[in-house]
Amino acid sequence: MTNAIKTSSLNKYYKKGVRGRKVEALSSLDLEVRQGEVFGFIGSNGAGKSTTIRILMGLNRPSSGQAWLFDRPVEEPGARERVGYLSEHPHFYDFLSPMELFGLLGTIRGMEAGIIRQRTGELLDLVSLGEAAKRKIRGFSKGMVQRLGIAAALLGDPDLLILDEPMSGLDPLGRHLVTTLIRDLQNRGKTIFFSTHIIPDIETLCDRVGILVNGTMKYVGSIGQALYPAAGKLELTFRAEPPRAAELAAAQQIHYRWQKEGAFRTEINEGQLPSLTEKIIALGGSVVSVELKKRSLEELYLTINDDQQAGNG
Amino acid sequence: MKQLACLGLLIGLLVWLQLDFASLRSKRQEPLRFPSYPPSLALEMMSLGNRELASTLIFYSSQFYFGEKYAWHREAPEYQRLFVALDKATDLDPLNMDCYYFAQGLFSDIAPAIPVLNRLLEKGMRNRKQDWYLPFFISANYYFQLKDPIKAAEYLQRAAELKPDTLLFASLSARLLYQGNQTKAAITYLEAFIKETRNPAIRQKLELRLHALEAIHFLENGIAAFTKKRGRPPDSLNEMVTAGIIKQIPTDPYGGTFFLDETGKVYTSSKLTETWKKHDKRDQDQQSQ
Amino acid sequence: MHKLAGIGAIGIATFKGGLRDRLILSLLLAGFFFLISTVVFSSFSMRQPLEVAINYSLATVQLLTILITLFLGLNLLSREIETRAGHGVLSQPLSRTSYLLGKFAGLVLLCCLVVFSLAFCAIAGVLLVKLGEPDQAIYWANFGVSVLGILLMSLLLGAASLLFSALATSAVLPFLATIAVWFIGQSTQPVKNYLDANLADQTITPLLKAIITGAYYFFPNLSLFDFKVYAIYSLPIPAGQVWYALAYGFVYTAVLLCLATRLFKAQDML
Repeated sequence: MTNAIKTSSLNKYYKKGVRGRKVEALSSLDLEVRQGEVFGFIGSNGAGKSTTIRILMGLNRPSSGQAWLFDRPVEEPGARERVGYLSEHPHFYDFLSPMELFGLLGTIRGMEAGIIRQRTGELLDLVSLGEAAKRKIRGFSKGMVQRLGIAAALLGDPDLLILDEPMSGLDPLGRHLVTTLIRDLQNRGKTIFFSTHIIPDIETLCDRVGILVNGTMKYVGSIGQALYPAAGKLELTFRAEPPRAAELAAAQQIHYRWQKEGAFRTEINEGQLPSLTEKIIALGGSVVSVELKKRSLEELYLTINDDQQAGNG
Repeated sequence: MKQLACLGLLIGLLVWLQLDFASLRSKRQEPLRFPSYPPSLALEMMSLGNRELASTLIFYSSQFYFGEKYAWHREAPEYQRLFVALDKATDLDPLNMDCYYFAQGLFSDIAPAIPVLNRLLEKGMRNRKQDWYLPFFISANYYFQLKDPIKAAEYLQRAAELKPDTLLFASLSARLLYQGNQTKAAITYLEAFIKETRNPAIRQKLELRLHALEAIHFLENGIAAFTKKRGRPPDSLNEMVTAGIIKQIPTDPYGGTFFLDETGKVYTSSKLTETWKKHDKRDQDQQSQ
Repeated sequence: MHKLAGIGAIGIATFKGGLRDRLILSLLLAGFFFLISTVVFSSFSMRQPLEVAINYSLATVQLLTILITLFLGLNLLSREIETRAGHGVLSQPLSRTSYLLGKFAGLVLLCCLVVFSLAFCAIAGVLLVKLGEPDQAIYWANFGVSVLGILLMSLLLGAASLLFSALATSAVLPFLATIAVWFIGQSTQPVKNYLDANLADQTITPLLKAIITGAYYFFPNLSLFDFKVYAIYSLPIPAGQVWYALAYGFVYTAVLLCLATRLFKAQDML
């Protein structure tokens, strides 16, 4: 099956300074993003996320290696025909109005004038910029430009949406907009690739994640594998009198943590659940919730970073 | 309010300074200098493809300098630098008629400059083939300053071919050919030139010369009348006054005094006739040989 | 077809950007005042006020057009890459070549607008002067050819500024380099003429002479586009000279654009 995004041993050096000292931004990056998935691209600032995305969008050229969008090399402008892109800080010709801008972008994409007009109206309404359609972008606030960027990315009804830090510059309204949008597009079978350094975005949205550390991919996996690595582990929250809880813990050899409002949380194996539930009820307590044990992505991310630093040291 | 007062004060100060500067400039002590321009090639490079404009600008600066120096301060301009500037200006734009015209106005009464002036005008003739003024000027210079009627007639012929102004050319060539009254011919040349002159400073300069020539012409007419009456030329100009032929000897606008030399011709102690004498001497030497 | 539409759309957007740039409007305004001053300037002429009026107004048109072209060139690519305003377009399914050609198309439109509106002011100024010189005829065809020459020159300089912008990521260097090309391009012909006229001159070393000859053939010869003298003095333009200038302008500009697209293809955007 065709991958929406594929890179193969992608390298990128930047020359810095007068003497042309090489700075490595990416080293041998291999990446595959399947069609229809939401892929989270995680890394701290300077890890190489933006460089990867800029290579995909044809803004930067790789030093070596190759990248494809829907099996077409990124050097071909046509590779971006099915792609919409939102950069971290969208910049447009600010002397144009959104109407004119979308006319320009639509014409470049080879869309018909009527369809451009229709899409422009829909999309500007979607991002609540309908009333600013004929005003110069120069006078827009930062949030408005960001929302305009979202609309611009969707103009060509792309099959793949590449978003570079879509949440970073947004107000809560914009954040909500992006979240619902991604869910909606996912439901319509579109592929979404977005980079972020904000973990909650990933937890709520992604099917799979890739973790980039200093230009190298350290982890690629499904969001399930990433979040629930230990099979059969459960997290149980129960309510009981504190002395009873201590009694129970001692009897069952479990560790518990104090939760607010008189609740306790503990980690158990799946097999322990029926007996433990009985015991809690017997002690006069109650089970509040049972969840699959979730590994925090922060933990994962921090662990990888620590490994990397240890390796370097 | 404070800002407004401040602004008013400053503008007042500025106006005062401007007026003061204007008065300062009019009674300035240091002499007004004319710039010496870089070589023609450098000028052409600096003009960035606007040679004609550069040429016009050099001409303008020469003209303004001359106007201020000659007509305003009544001082002798730096003729040499002016000539070099006009030469460079016509290197930049050999078609610039203003330069040739101005040069003729400036230098046609400075005898030592005539050969270079004629060379400059020849440059103009090569480039402005349809312009009758240039051969006309050269002709005037040959006739009036170099006392060479044959060359003068030759150039006058070329001018006549370009602009058949029958009246002017007929009267001039007649005078040239029959060796008639040379002063009258010079006046005719000059009047034709003045008629076309718009620059006030040049006009002033030319009219000064015209007045001097007219004074000489007046005296020459007197001599002719005296000779007719008495059968001999007068011994001195005063004799004509005592004889009642003329009321008084006119003053030389150049500041000299008119006198009769041993051959009976009118000269003046100012520079105007300096070269005539030299050429007359040469003619006499040639005749005696 | 779809590529051409993209180039056209970028050209029109660039044109709009130029129109909405206050710098250009103010320069045009300055040009208007300059040309009104034609009347004053030409009044100082002794013999040829009309010639001076044409001379002055064409020189003003040329100078202002080139100044505007230089600033346009500055905005066109370097500034757009510096401010990342072009990213929105460059990340579209659009080749860098199309982008660059679109930008150049916009430059052509802007230069035409600038040249023709300035020429209009120039004609108005000259006609005002002509009121005082009713007998003298003006060869308007030669005036038109001069304006065309100015346009060709400004387009060539615009292409040069695109080339330099494609090379460097900062805006200052291409700007200065284009000015240098303008200066050199205007000087090579006079210097060559000077050399040719002074063959026996020993003050010029063979090395210097070789350098000058090399520069003469390498840099654009902008003197070729100068038809002002024919307009000023109503002289017949030598046969073929206009066609030669047209061909030279097109070919040189095309070469510069080709080089620019090649270099721009490999560049990283900021």
